[in-house]
Amino acid sequence: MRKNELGRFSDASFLILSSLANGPKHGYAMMEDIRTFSGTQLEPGTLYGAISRLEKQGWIEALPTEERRRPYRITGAGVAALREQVATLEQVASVGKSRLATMEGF
Amino acid sequence: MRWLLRLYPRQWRERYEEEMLAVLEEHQVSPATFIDLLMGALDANLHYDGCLEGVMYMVHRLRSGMVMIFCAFMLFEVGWGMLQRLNDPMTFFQAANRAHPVFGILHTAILIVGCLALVALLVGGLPIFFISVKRAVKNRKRDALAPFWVALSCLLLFILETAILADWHRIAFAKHHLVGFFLSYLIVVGIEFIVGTISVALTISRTEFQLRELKLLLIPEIVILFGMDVSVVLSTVLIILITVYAPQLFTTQDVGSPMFITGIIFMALGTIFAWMGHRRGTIKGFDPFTHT
Repeated sequence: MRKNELGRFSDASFLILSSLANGPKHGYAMMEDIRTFSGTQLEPGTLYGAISRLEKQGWIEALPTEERRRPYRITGAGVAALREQVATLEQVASVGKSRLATMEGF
Repeated sequence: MRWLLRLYPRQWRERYEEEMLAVLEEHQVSPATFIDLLMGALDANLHYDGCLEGVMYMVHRLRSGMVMIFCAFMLFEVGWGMLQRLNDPMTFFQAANRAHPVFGILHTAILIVGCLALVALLVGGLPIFFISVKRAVKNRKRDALAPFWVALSCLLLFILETAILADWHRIAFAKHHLVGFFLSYLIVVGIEFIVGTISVALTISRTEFQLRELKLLLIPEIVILFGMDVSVVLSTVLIILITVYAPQLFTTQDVGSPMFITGIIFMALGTIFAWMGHRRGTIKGFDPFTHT
């Protein structure tokens, strides 16, 4: 995986991949979906910066334009990358939880 | 906000400007949006290098390779069609074939592999062309629809002209100027063939495809290349054998040796261009079947 190539867009990329995991969406639909499930308001500059990188990585794929809106969908490689990111986050969350529990125990 | 997008590099704007404008029209613009776009423009100028890798790049490569193979096959077909005239008139060809049965075998084999390649082109190409036209109509893409109408007009004109040609003995002008009539037909059909081929190529090259759609062509492409290669080899062998054992065929048949040589050259050039197209659609280390 080439996560480091995503630079400052790595968080936005994770949110976009998560958003596309339940079906193709165009830019504005992604922004709305991300706001709903994560509370993060992505701005268009960040969104398209991340989209261009994800496309370059081959993790998402553009679908044909529908009245100026272009939907995107996650690719097989994108699903694998998302799965890996989710596993890392779960591990981090699990360590965080157990350390919090230890701290609270004191 | 459109002016802000002008700060992005040209390549980036060609790819994302329209859809980003559509997003901005729906989005509630704030000072944060303004700053975000400025940061985005700076980042794009520093880092965006077009689609140098990934699915989009692969799609572009596959599409242009596919268009090259289509044009190359059209060139090949012209040469292949010329060689099919070898057995006309039948009497002389059959006489030579009785002495050298290999002539007939090779001629039939060239016909079969050529037809096989044509069928593969139709099986793989027609769905792609249908997708192109459907998408152009749906999105009202005039730059893709215009060449489609030109190609369709060429096809209809060709059918009409061929119907007229089939009825030539009822046309007074054709009766008196037979050579001129046939030559005019050939010239007009040749022009339509070239214009039609270019128009189909333009329609396809102006369509946005998905990788899974273009994958439909990978197997037909192999069959087309196989058919072209085998045809060129067999045709060369046939012409060499005729030159050695029955050179009289070059004078007795409807078409002489210059036409056969031109045919072979067209077939060979078409095959070379088709391989170049195939190479264009192949990227080392990228498997179009798995997207990795």
